[in-house]
Amino acid sequence: MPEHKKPIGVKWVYRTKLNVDGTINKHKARLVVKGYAQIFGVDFSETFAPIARLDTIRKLLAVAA
Amino acid sequence: MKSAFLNGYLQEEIFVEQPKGFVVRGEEEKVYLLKKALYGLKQAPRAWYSRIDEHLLKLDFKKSLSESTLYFRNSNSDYIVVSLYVDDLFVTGNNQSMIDNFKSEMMKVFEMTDLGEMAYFLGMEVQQNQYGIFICQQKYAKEILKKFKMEECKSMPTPINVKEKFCKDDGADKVDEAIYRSLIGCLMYLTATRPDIMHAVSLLSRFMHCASEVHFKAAKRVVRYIKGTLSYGIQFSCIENFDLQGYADSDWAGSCDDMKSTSGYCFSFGSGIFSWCSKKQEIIAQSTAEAEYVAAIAAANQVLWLRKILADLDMEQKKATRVNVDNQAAIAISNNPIFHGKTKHFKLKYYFLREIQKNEEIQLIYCRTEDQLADILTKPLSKTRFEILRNKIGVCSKRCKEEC
Repeated sequence: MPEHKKPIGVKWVYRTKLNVDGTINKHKARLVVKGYAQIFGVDFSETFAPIARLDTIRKLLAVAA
Repeated sequence: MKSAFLNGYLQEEIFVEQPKGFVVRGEEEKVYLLKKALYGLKQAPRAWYSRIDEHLLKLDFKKSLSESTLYFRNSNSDYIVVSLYVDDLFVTGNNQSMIDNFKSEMMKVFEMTDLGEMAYFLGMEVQQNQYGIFICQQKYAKEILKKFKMEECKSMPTPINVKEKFCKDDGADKVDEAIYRSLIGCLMYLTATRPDIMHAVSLLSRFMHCASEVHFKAAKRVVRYIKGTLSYGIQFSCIENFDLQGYADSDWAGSCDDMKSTSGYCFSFGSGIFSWCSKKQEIIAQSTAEAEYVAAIAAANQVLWLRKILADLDMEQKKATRVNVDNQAAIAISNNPIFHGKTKHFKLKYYFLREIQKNEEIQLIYCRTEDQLADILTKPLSKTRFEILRNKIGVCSKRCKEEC
């Protein structure tokens, strides 16, 4: 591991997913990174989330109708 | 899509500690170098987007330049459209086998579940029937009532009182801002299928930082209106020709604090509206004509964007898009530079409307104030007028959608 780098912490997140009637569907475990420890320019530079505008979605529905 | 973010490849060098319970004995000091993204990483959504983008392009999809989450593929008269919302894919097209084919192509590479015909997307309930498509957020609306303990409240016929004016310092006692903000935030999300409350919510959201009893009471009135219209949503009816049409309107110096006006516009194919906006203008308009002109500009910008996307979807608008404005002077200004005296203070960017009118992309046409649908987005209305306009913009109850 390079000198100037720091490892980022991770943690387990446990979730219990319920069915509509309140019974247990499944136990879910997911490993997540503590993203808050990331430093801009060092651990990441560009971020972007592909989110469709609601106008677009509604338009597709209007066209599909 | 299951665990979508885990599919993204990382470009940056990122080291993580060993996860609890999986530490290798004797090598506790070592760390992992990530190749693919994990949830929680700042760049995880981006990495995922690059991955799916590359994959869709490989499947011969084209990406819309005006909306980077919209992909489409045409062959002869068949088309398929994919809209991406982070890890939700919304697929539509006119050829079922093409869609099935696409699904299986995707499932080969990504782990995903097919939810079948769209019934629920981004909190919107979607119903498809022989008359068209109906979208609403009834479940969410009920949750709002519950969250703010207003399940038993009396309902109201309109979201906002016609006579009431709001200002920052109204002298009334201040309320807990956290609750007010939370309520406005909830209502804001509800506007996804409820353009009828758009104006009220956008108006009340101007007082997030100085909420008083008066504002809070008005916000609760919106909830009481919702209570009486829980099952309302937008009905998109089947239509033959997809001619985009719009309405642009403004009020006049409606804000008591800074005398700015509010722009409103909405667009449809002749049935339910699918794109709308209600927003305080950035400048102080010096005449009603100027306020209307500014609203028309906002609508014009939206027209350009909508036309581009429609062109991508192979529904290019051959004719100029007609935008209804109920102010003759504003139309005159957009056509003719002769009104110099009244327009010499207009900012340069507002002249761009003339240019795109000349290019035949947009055409402002006059409509009577009674026919101005965007009225509902710019000012409080009386019950009768409100109900007429609400019906005209395609907002109706789940039950009566057959009649719309």
